[in-house]
Amino acid sequence: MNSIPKMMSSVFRFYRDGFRQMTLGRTLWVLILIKLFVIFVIMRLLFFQPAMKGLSNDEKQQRVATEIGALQGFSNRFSPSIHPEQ
Amino acid sequence: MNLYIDTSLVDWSRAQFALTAMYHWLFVPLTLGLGVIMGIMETIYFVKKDDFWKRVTQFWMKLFAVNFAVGVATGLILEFEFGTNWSNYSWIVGDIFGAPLAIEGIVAFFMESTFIAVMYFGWNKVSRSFHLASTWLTTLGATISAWWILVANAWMQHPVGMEFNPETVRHEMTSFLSVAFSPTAVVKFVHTVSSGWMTGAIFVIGVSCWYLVRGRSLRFAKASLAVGTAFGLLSCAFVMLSGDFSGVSVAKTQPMKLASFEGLYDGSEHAPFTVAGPIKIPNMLTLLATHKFTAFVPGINDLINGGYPLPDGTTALSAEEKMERGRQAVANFSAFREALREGLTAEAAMARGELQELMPYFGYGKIQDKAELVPPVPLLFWSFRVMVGLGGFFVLLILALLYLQLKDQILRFPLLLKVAFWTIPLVYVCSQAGWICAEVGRQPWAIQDLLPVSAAVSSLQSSSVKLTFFLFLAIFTLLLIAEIRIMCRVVKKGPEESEN
Repeated sequence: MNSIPKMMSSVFRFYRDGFRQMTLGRTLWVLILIKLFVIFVIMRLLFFQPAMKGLSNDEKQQRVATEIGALQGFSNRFSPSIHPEQ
Repeated sequence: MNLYIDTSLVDWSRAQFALTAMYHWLFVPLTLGLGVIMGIMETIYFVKKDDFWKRVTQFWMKLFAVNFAVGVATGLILEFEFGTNWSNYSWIVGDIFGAPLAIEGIVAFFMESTFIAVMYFGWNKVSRSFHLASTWLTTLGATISAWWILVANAWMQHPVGMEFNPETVRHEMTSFLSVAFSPTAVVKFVHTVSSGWMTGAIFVIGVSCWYLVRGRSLRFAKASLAVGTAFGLLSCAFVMLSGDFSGVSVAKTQPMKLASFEGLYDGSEHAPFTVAGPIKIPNMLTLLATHKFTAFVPGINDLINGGYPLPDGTTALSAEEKMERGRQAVANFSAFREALREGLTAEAAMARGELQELMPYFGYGKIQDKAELVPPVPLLFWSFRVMVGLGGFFVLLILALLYLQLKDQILRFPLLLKVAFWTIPLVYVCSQAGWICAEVGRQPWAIQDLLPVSAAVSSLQSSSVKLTFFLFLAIFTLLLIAEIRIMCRVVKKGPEESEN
């Protein structure tokens, strides 16, 4: 019965001691935390809202159907001519 | 609703995705390659029970940690972009694309996060065998992640195992196994992962040679170099073999990509391989693309004009014919939706039946000009040559280093050691050139033949995409500078300090 708390406690100690003994790891964790903050807080909240957020599935279907069913005005300006020798 | 998609929005969305993917791909290959090398080194330690190999492993694990920490989560931004910049695409492929990405997320999270902790915190706390298993399982986790990402990517290049449902406007999976084990996915996985191994090997070789040039940590450097060169040679063999199969696969499923790699405008049954300029190897392209001495390899003009014989005995359609069929497919799609809305079941069923027949050409219905079907040839031509040329150079370098190690004369060739060190950036150039070949080569398609990028993109303001493009550029560049600086610091300190 005591084996589960005992195991959890040894796992806790394993991680606690591991984190305490880090040297280079501290710098790397700071880097990771800054990066995760930038990705999930700044980028996700301010810049990367899903384009169809708030739409129901039916509305999403209709919107995509309309867009892929009638698209116009696109040309790939990077494409070379097809017959370069001519 | 504004249905006009301006080209700058498509171009900036593509540029943003390319930037994010290419930066992400700076970190992934080293994780894959260095992971295996660490595993080999720790296995030697496990077998020999020599603490020297433990210190060697621990040093390379430090560099692995730097790369892992900087690279981790950079791939998540790609998933944000799917929802924001490529919402049409995300909706259309959600059922198929979601499965491999979800498996990747779960496997990556649980395997890597569990075992990487044991790998770093577990020295002297868990048994040697459990620690060794953790090291290999961390690497295996990263490799399995790569598998599912590449399954998703391969599906875009060669869509299989699905059926388009015009009612939900989604491709729905009909066979998980066909998606997960498509030949394109298998070849792509082996080629991409082995190129990551090669990156790891060249990195280890380069850093080891730096120590040899400086006359520091000689035993450590020689031991690391031996593992790096042996593993590097094996990796190169895998890269070349899978590259060969990849060529055959591309010739079958994406012939325009192959023709663009070669700048081949007019095909033939004995197509030559262009080395550069006028230097050509007769018949070589036919052999590489088909594994036969005589077989028609279509050029760009053939693919546009059609009329050439296909391997199944039929005649290839021209681009105009495919575009006409595509327009009919789109018209049937719209007719089906209209009939469904009006409750005209018989008409809806008829339109759906015709749509299913024409579905392989659906994407061509969005193509306005056949010139759009040709990807940028000069970029692909030279990227392909950079990739293959550098690959050949790596093989020669590794063979030379192996020979000199066997003869115990490695220290007598400092110039070669310096070249090996400066090869580290070249392996990244090679790797990025490979991605350019794979991803630019499939333009204009987001999903080959089914959805061009112009139809996959979200209707956004291009100014907001430009803003995030430069934001990413700044953030990723800072991360890259941080990685290089920390790595240089660890390398300069050397394995002597890491022993403590």
